[in-house]
Amino acid sequence: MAVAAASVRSLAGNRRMFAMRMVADVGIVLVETLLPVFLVDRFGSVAGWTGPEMALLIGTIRAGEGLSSLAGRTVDPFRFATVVRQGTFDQVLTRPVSPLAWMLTSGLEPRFAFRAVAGAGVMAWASVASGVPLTVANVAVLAGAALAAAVLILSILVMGASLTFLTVEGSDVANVFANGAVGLSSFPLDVYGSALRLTFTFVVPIGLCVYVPVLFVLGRDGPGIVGPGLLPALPVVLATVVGLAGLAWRAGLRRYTSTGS
Amino acid sequence: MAGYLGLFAAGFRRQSAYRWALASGMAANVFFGVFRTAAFLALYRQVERAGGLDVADALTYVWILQAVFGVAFAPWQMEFPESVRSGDFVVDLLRPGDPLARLAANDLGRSTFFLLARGVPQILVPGLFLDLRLPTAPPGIALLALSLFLAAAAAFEIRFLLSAPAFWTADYRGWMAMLFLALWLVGGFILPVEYFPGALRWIAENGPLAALLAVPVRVATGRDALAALALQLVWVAVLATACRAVMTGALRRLVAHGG
Repeated sequence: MAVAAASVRSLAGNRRMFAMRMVADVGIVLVETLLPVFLVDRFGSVAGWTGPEMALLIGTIRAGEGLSSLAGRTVDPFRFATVVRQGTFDQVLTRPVSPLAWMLTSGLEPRFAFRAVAGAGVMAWASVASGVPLTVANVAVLAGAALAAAVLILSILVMGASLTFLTVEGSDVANVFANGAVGLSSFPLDVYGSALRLTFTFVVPIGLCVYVPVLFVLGRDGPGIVGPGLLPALPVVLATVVGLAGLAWRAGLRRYTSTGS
Repeated sequence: MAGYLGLFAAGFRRQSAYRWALASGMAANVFFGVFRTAAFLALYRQVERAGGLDVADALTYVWILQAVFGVAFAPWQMEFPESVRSGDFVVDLLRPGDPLARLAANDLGRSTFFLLARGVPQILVPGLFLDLRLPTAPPGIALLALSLFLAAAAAFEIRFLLSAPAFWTADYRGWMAMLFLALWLVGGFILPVEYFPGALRWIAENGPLAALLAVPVRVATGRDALAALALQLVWVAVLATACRAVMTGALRRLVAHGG
């Protein structure tokens, strides 16, 4: 926690830059929210979903993405490859904290909190506009959904970073899954064929983190077996993914050989 | 001229050296293309036409977007502003020839590699499996190729203009982040510009950012292709003039950082 606090303080210095990036981060969420507005305007609905209902998906995934980026930028495989290649990771190993915890807390970027807050704002507006009853259960499910999405994205990035120990290059394929999962979650999974839908519910469980909870609070049924009834499976599946990411990190760390200097 | 061609070739070769980056960039591209295709196929089961586009137009938009994405949002877009900020750019001023033309030649070399290695397959392969609206006769194909190249030129010019704050302020990253946001929306990277309402649609279809994506899509689908190409040429020329003006202004009072 002290490491995290220090990295926040180091960034608070340049206020004007901070403000501009805040505008950009809130802006990206708002621009994405225009997607359902324009689509529903032209198509009447998106596979039966109204604009606010689809915006609820977008708010949730962007809040999750914002939360993950808050910590995840340093384990982004693209960046992490540079850390490994330059031998900087040797220094991390000498510190008296867990290397993974160091990586996740040393590069906190507070500006992404604004992306998370903007996402939460869109979630709040979209819930009201689509008539989600304001109950403790619904609020908890939605907050849990954003958090679950963040944990899933971070787990994917950690798996990619673990691969970096072996390959150094090319491990940014993990970004394909992380970014792809975010991109695809903007649409209700109803629009995809069953192959894409099942893959992104059970293999890369972003659908379970975002789409299923949103189905639950909207009181909608999903297509086929992907429905609100899957909600109880979320914690189990997510814990499995986190466990796998942890195992991958340990396996990678064991194989780490310094670049030497 | 030979010097600039050499820089163009060097840019081309340089970009071809990053094999893994090419593969993963392409994988991301294809993935986004696949799920956007699925989404548009589902949307067009509800409606025959939207904003004047039918399903073939929309799918063509999807894959032209994937083809120009790496050019419009180039992975090397921070290199130039960072070199201005670090002071490395000053070295470039000592080299022979015109600095702006040198930057352009090298950037276009890298972009051309992307268009050939990532763009062409992402138009051809989906064209085999999906019902896209692509030109089949040589003149139409030549016009599309020209339009894609002009899109790369416009992308360089826009990148240069968005990087220009680095000459004057340390906050250039903040400026760039805000400007890229406008590029994302008005450039039509979230949806075809034809879906936009009223004034926003007009700006996106006729403004400078149309040169990046909206025009190549119109040229590919054959909707007033020649008029669209003329519009693109005009914007590439106007942006070139703007780049020249900014470069002249920046060099008049360049403060070299670093030591």
